[in-house]
Amino acid sequence: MKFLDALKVSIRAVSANRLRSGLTALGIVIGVSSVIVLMAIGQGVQKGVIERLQGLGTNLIFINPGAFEERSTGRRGGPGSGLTLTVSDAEAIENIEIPGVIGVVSQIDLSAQAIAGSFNEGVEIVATDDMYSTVRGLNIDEGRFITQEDVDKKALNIVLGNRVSEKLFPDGSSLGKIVRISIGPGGFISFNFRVVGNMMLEGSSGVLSHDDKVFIPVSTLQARIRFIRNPTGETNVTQISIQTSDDTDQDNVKLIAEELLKSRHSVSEPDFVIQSQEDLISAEKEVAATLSILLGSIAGISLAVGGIGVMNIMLVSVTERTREIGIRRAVGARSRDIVRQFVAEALALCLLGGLIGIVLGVGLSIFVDGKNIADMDVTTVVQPWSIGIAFLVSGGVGLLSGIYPAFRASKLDPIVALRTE
Amino acid sequence: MIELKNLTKIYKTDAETVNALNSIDLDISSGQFLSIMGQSGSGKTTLMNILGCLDNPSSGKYLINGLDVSSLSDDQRARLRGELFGFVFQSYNLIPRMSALEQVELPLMYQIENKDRKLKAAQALESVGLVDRMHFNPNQLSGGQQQRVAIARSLVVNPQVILADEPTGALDSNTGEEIMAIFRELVEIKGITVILVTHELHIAEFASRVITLKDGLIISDKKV
Ligand SMILES: Nc1ncnc2c1ncn2[C@@H]1O[C@H](COP(=O)(O)OP(=O)(O)OP(=O)(O)O)[C@@H](O)[C@H]1O
Ligand SMILES: [Mg+2]
Repeated sequence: MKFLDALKVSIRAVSANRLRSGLTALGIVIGVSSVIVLMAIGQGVQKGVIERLQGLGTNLIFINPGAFEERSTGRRGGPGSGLTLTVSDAEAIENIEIPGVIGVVSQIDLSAQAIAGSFNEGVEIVATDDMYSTVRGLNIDEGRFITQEDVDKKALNIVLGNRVSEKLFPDGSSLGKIVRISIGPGGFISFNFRVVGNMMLEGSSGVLSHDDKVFIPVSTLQARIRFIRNPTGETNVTQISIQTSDDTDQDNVKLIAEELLKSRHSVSEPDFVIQSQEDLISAEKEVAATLSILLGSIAGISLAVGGIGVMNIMLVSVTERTREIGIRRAVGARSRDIVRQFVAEALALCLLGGLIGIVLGVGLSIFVDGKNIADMDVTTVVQPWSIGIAFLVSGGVGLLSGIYPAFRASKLDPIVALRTE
Repeated sequence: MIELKNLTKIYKTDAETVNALNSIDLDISSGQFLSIMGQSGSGKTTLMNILGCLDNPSSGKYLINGLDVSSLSDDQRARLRGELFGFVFQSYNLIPRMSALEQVELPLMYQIENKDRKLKAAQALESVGLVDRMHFNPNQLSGGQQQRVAIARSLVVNPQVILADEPTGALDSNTGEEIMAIFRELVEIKGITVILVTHELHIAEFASRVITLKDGLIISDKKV
């Protein structure tokens, strides 16, 4: 029998028993659509993370303290586990003028309370200098960012992130107003700052967003808070950011900065972590890809259950149509023609289910995109390859679940099959 | 064209062994109209199944056009069934939910050369006088009509031999005789070899040769 004929015969058989075929295909529909939806959610998470990392600025290299490893003991700490970077490290990197480096900036991150009138907000302080807004590509809404003059004068000036400004001064502009910043348990260190600028809304949320941050000159912090300096008189920083020009070999910059810091710290293994934006993005991509595969596999289980349903129905169908198989054998069907017919039938069922599942899954993914579900902003990205995979997998399920019943059918003795009632 | 030499079929069950066919020797020439008679259990269906390459003999030789059937593979015997033989059964053996035309088309699907299937199927239905029932399903046809569809199905491949196991067994005598008239026409006009199993003498007498089986042996072989 020609393949096309087998296909026609199988489509007929599938449509002859609509309700049963529909219920059987439903298992595949559910499996395929959940594979597509969950993969789309995984992809959406990946897209969100990458966008946020790209929103950090362009062509950045980050140096964070910590991640020491002692060869002798094998003791290892994660990033930030040691306070090893200082303001002068950042200055040293700036001073050697690595080709391609546009700017170097260090920052100290501290949690604090910001108080204005009756409003009290938890904020994240970024103590830094004028380069920060350039390197990070920040946009000023009104006023100005911290200047070199602020740093020189250790001024009590502050720039507010957009959401902080909105919350502390809901009724009007915050420019020129006083904000009290309390640091430490019980707010035992407090200073009044004057607002000199407000940032534009970035819109994203999470630790990487600047909307919930406030910016003050690093020198102010150094002058006012003694304990910010370590016993050697150096000020530890949370992060150093380096910006390079577009066509710079970032690996080279990383290498030079690394060698410099190693010699400054007199260590053979780096006691800091140096990563470019690209490094972070590809690391996140890997995490998100793992997530996608994990979600997809969970959905794959329901697809497997659907496949078992198809196999079950195919076995029933073979039993019911034993006499038909005998007739076909008598009029010249070879055993492989019988195999082909039943495999084609399982395939038709699964591909039908697969197609409906794809339509449903893509529809559902588009529907939930941008919706807030269970307090989470769901973003979905339907990759064309996930549709292709879903289609191929449903075909594969069809083949797998059809082969055994088809093989059983082909092994029936024609005489016995013809005698069956 | 058909030669059986010392052909034996033994069924072994747990309890006993049955010699369904006992050293049968039989020559059937091309274009013959042969009836096989005999009591129930005498081995008629067993013989037909072996003739139609649906079953294998336990021993002995079956030659068709000089070709030893026992030397053929499963696939080759399937091809022989599809191209050389047509089958007609007592219980019609039509496939439910398939139109008459599709039933008749079925054997053509398994042929290598299978162009113009619809046309050939329609012509076969016409030769049994059923063109106007082409799109009817088996459950919309009378017994006689269903058997004529089955005959059309056996005819459509232009077989050399038609094997009919009690084709009139489920029909009244008038309808049975109409069916027999079709078979006689096939022998006389198309030169097809028809081998027919029946219990009824008046049906057997349509044939030109009648053999009778008893306990797996041929006990009489008469030319009419
Ligand atoms: N598959 C089988 N297994 C065991 N014995 C069988 C089998 N098929 C047939 N037989 C036996 O072989 C003998 C011949 O059976 P067969 O069906 O050929 O008889 P028949 O002449 O066609 O009878 P009827 O007129 O009732 O159709 C019987 O005794 C039967 O019991
Ligand atoms: Mg019989």
